[in-house]
Amino acid sequence: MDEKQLVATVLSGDEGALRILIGKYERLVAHMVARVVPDDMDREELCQDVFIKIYEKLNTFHFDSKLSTWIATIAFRMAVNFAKKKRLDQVDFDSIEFQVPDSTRSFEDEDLSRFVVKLVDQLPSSYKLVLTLFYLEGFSYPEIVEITGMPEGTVKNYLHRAKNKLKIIIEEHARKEVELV
Amino acid sequence: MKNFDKIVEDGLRMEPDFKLGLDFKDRVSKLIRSRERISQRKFYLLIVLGMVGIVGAGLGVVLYFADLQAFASLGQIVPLAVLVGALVAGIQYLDKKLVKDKMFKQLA
Repeated sequence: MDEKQLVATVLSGDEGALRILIGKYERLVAHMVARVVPDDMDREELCQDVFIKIYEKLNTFHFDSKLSTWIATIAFRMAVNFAKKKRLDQVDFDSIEFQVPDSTRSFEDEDLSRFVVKLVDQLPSSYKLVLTLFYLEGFSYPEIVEITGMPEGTVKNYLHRAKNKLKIIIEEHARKEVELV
Repeated sequence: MKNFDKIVEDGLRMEPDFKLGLDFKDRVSKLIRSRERISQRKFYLLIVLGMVGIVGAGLGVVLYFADLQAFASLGQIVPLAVLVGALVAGIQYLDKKLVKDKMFKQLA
């Protein structure tokens, strides 16, 4: 079943098609929500609200973009609004003081990559979401522009600055580990 | 020498630990359906209340202002009113079965 058929079947009231739609996109929504919302209960509730909103607005989707892009747009807005409402973003990018643990278990590449995830958690929500959309979900620049409503330059800037900052911290951390050994 | 670009990118491509429950889609679809049923019931209730209000207001006006003798011959058009009502209901039913259902099937 392609996107058009799936949407039409959901709109005709088919519950099975609705479950297929949720199953197909729950991973995308969960990834975006999980990056912004720290508590599992809140995450599950927000994912639920995102899909209810998707269902309510589905009749306004006219295939001007991919269904995944449209769904990500709704998830992005709801995640950002949730972060604002709960005051999860208290610092801006330039003034972040990253909480770096004294030592990782080892400085194998995989452990360092896990360490990156912990650092990403400390970034402002908009950075976390842009990074997730680009690296984890594989959206292109124009798609991220559509999802976030940010200019393409801002999207590229976010990706570049965030990646550079993470790289610098990881490099410093690895160097310290080597010195300790 | 470590490739820090790759380490950072690998980290950024790691999935969050959070997973939605296996029954997530069932729960959400049930919730959506139950919300729909509730809003449909509210809609029907509003229609019924509106109709009761209109009929009640009409009756009130008639009883208060009108000369009841003027409505003495109204009973003669009851069969015609029933026929028109049945005709409208029939057209609605045929429209649903022959036009709208086909339309939704074509869309699906």
